[in-house]
Amino acid sequence: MRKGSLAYEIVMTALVLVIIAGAAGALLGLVHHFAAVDPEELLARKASAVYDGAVVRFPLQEGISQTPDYDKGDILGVYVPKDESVKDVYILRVKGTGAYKGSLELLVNITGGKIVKIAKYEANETPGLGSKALEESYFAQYCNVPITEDFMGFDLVKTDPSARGEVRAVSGASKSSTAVTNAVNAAVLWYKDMRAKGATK
Amino acid sequence: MKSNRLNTLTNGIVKSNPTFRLVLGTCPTLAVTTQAINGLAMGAAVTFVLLCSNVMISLLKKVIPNRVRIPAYVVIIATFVTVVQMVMQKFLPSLYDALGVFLPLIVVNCIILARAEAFASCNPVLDSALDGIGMGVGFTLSLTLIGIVREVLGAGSIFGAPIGSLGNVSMTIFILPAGGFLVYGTLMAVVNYLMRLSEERKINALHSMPENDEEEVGA
Repeated sequence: MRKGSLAYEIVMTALVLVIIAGAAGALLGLVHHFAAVDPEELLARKASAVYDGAVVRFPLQEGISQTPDYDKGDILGVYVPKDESVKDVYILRVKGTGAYKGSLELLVNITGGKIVKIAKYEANETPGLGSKALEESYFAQYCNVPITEDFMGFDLVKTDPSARGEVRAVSGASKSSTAVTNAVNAAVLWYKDMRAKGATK
Repeated sequence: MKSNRLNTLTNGIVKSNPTFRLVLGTCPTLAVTTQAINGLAMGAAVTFVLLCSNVMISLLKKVIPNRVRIPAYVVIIATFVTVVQMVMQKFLPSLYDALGVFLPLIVVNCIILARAEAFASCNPVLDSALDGIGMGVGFTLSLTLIGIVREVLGAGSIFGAPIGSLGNVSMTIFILPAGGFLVYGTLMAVVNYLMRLSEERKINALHSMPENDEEEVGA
């Protein structure tokens, strides 16, 4: 293979590219070693927004891993406190459809039959508009409503709420408000189902 | 030589500001500047990638075959972007979420590719590093400026801190894409006006000197 021949050039070109790509891969591997994010650790960090303490994945039992007959939201994960002496605390990662950009994900803490705290898990609503449906003051409307057997989930209204379970939508952000309500309702229905099935056992 | 290096550094900040003068990288500019902190973070990420890729490409300019230089540049740039992405996800998760898809899109940011092709591939390492820093700082300053204006007008806060009761009278349009264009265009006009003023002053100063001399001679 003479220097300057076509074959020489092709081989050298390929060789240089392979070496560059190899060095790049090695560098990325090194960085990954130091900066890898463990998904469980990520969840634990995000869960700290709604629950003060370590959480573990809820051992999903047969039949209560999904919200029954509900197509507007989904349960993506259920977590309970690592400390087993703490009872009746469930942290749910839920997805709600109908958001401005498809769907959004929330973390919902249900303690003692009530929602006590909600936080955003992943959502990209328009800042200043849809984001207002992801603020603490809006989430507060869902909190402390007893989830009893006859409670069928939250309803969105455009006037001041008059009945239990009614939530006032954020004006200008009805899509985001709907998605949040869908996500919260998925959590509510899951909780009711879990409690009903748990009670029969 | 020293003033030359200084020129290389300041070139990107003022005279060839990538955002306001070269109008490069407008897509991330408009998309992430809804808040000042996002603009700052995006600028910092781009500065890091720009510096590293400029240095690396300048170092490898004799090694990289001319015919496949663009793929080689993209591999180098993508590597540094991925490094930024991984580090940010680990240590600054909220900013990582805020920048979203625009962080990986730095790979195809035209400022970085343009500086690699136009500057780093034919200049020494030190100059390329200075050019990278200058361009990066220029980009960061511009994005932060746009971010501040949009956040103050659109959300009534600055770097996330509310300014009095300004939030009650905020104009949401400035956070939406339309407001991005408005702010970007207005700031570009202001910057270019100021640049022209300073250039005219320089030219006037240059012209007035020999005239004075002639007058003196004539007198």
